Amino acid sequence: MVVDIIYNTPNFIPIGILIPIYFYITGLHAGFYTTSVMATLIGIKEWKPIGKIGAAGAVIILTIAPIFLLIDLGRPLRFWHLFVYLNPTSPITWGTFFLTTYPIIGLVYAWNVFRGNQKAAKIWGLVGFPIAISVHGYTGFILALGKARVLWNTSLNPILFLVSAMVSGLALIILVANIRLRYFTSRSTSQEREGDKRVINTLILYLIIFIIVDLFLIGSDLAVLATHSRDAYYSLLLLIVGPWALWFLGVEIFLGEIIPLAMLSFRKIRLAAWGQNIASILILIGIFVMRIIIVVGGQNVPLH
Amino acid sequence: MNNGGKVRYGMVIDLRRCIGCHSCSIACKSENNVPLGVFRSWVKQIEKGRYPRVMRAFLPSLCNNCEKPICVKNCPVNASYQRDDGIVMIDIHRCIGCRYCIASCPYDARYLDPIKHIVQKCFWCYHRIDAGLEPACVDTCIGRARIFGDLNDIESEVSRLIASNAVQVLKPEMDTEPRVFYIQADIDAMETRGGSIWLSI
Repeated sequence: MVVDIIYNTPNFIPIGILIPIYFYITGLHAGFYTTSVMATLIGIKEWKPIGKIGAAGAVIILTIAPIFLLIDLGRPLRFWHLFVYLNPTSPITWGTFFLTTYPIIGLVYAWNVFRGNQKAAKIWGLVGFPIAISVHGYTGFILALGKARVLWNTSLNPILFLVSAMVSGLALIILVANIRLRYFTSRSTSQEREGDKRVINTLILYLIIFIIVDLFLIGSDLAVLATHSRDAYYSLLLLIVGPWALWFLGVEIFLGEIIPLAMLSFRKIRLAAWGQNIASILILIGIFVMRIIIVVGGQNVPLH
Repeated sequence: MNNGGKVRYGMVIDLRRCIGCHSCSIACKSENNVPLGVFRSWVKQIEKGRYPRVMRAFLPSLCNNCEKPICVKNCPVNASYQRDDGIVMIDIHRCIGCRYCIASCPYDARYLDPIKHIVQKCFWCYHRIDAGLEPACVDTCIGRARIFGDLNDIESEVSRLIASNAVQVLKPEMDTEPRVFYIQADIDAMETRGGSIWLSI
């Protein structure tokens, strides 16, 4: 049946690029915090620098993140409505709650880490862990509960967001740790530097595991999209052969996950700082593009 | 005759009578001062078949004021709320413009007002209904294709039309229970067809 659309109103894309940037930043935060808490719980001296980088980074990132939310609002000066008028069924209300309770806990945790109070740091780290994860996890739920958009409305989105958050967070921590090792450890002993190197190499192994899990989740998402519904099939085509194909297959999958995975599977490259840094940068770019594709690309399938 | 119960408004659009003149769209724009570039009510027009067996189908769309609205569920500040008579309203002083409701609506009924920077949509001209009139699009339709009334009143024209005709709604699988019913809507007009912008279907 040949059908021509003679007239239709344009497809309006309500959520722009500021929201994916916010999702990306809270994702980095979740990765930083998780790595820092893990380092604190392990408690060995050589993990201390990672604990400090993670804690400080998490606090800095979470101070920057709400700014993007604020400038994205249609009426920024009405942001206080979010604290006064609550809707328990809306994920954005949950997010407001998490974003307000986390900073104090995060600050206390970071303070304890930098002061060296091991026990207090462990307690505050564990107390803050579910809230810090929720600060990013709720964004996955924002998308999953957006029932109208088929690329959003999958139960995989919350866990996919958390796994990509871990991937990007680990990548950035490895990058920062390598920079610190190269330029800021002039006063450390060579033994300490050896210890730092060992820790970074362990983080690389975790990064590889999380990349594989991420690829599996994306693969399952695509596999179900292919058969779920007509709009789902169009979403899949949009990503694979349509206008987003270059960004999705080229940047997110190939450059962002396959190439780093290939690079890090060779022992020589995996242990070399340049290999780790290049892989990390590629991963950071890839995960950023992934957020944009899901949020903006998901709105490219018209609803009417 | 409503059995003393609540009023629940609904609309029936009879596509046997629609001629695709877009008067409803213009009347709505005029009545509600809708800014340029955004629409509260619009008419989608398709042409299907190969000559000599061809047809033009129209699909006038507006907010369905669903029974189970996703937009109300997802609004973080309760700016979107549903009146007792079923119309989904927006508190223009409370909306912060986060646009989550626009992203949640399966029917693309909402838009961001480019002048006020809050979200607006079709309200079935509640200001006219409360004054005893009909919505502007219903009043203007020259084919009398739009019929508005109380769904809970079994003797209203909408109830009679729904009871005696095969009616459809848009996207029933979304479980929103829309309250705009179409008679003889064409399936090819109702389908989004992926926008057909880059894929020939």
